[in-house]
Amino acid sequence: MLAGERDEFTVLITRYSDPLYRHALCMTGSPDVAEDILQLSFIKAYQHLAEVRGRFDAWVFRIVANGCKDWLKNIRRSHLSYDEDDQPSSYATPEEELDRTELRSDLDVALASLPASLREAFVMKHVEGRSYEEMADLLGTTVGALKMRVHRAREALQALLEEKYA
Amino acid sequence: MLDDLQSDGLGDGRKRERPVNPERPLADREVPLGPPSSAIADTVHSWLDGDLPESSVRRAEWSRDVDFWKRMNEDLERRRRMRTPAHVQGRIMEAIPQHAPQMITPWWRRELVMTPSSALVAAATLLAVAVAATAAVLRFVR
Repeated sequence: MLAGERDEFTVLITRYSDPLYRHALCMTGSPDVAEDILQLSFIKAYQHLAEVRGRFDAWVFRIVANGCKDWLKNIRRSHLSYDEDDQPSSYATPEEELDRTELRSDLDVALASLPASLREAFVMKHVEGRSYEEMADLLGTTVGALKMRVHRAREALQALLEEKYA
Repeated sequence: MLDDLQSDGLGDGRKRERPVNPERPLADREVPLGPPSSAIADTVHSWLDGDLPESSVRRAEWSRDVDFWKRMNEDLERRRRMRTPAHVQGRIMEAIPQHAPQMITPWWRRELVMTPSSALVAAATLLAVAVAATAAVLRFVR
């Protein structure tokens, strides 16, 4: 695999693209940007496969995470909502569907207002479902620092949204 | 506490931080970067971290926080199920170079593969070098 076989690389893309796409989408809020970051990250990964030390998924996650941070540094967000996912709606009525869309949009805006480090920690914990130990390993920081970031992100999100949703 | 939407407290003496101007759009609000507030109790954080069961946060003073995060979880759950759009994988494969990248490794880091013929060549080279060195030393001594 490390020799850079194209067909075998497809297997890696299939296996790891979903969690990486979710990360990029939640970090950037834009499906187009998330797709671009994912594409560039996998190309970079393919070109540097020989340099992988350790787990491929952790290595390619760092490429995607850095791509998101670079994008956030350089570009002011203008696109805050993203398209429907392919999952069937579990909401019964149009009113519930409307509530759902509104919540999604409000949470997008609130997430976008967080500093990148807090957003990243929150997304990794609550969307990607990672443990603090795994997050610390991937981001090269301590469990304590990440707990603090997640706690601060929660408190900031709650401060922004609780009047409407509590 | 549950119905008192103007309450600034959490029921345990701590103050809850609220947006200064709720009329402003969400996007314009700045999140303070100062020291973390204590708006959410540690027990609720532990429940959100998955370290405690929901039964441990069933107290009146935390019900507002718990209800809020259960509501947020409805959307977070949807995000957890998001999949990469089908066309993206094809786009990535089209963009990847047709030929495998060539790895340029310095000769001293390359793996040494010893075959019978290469061992014979190496031995002959060493012998020739040894003979030449010995001859040079003997010539120098005389």
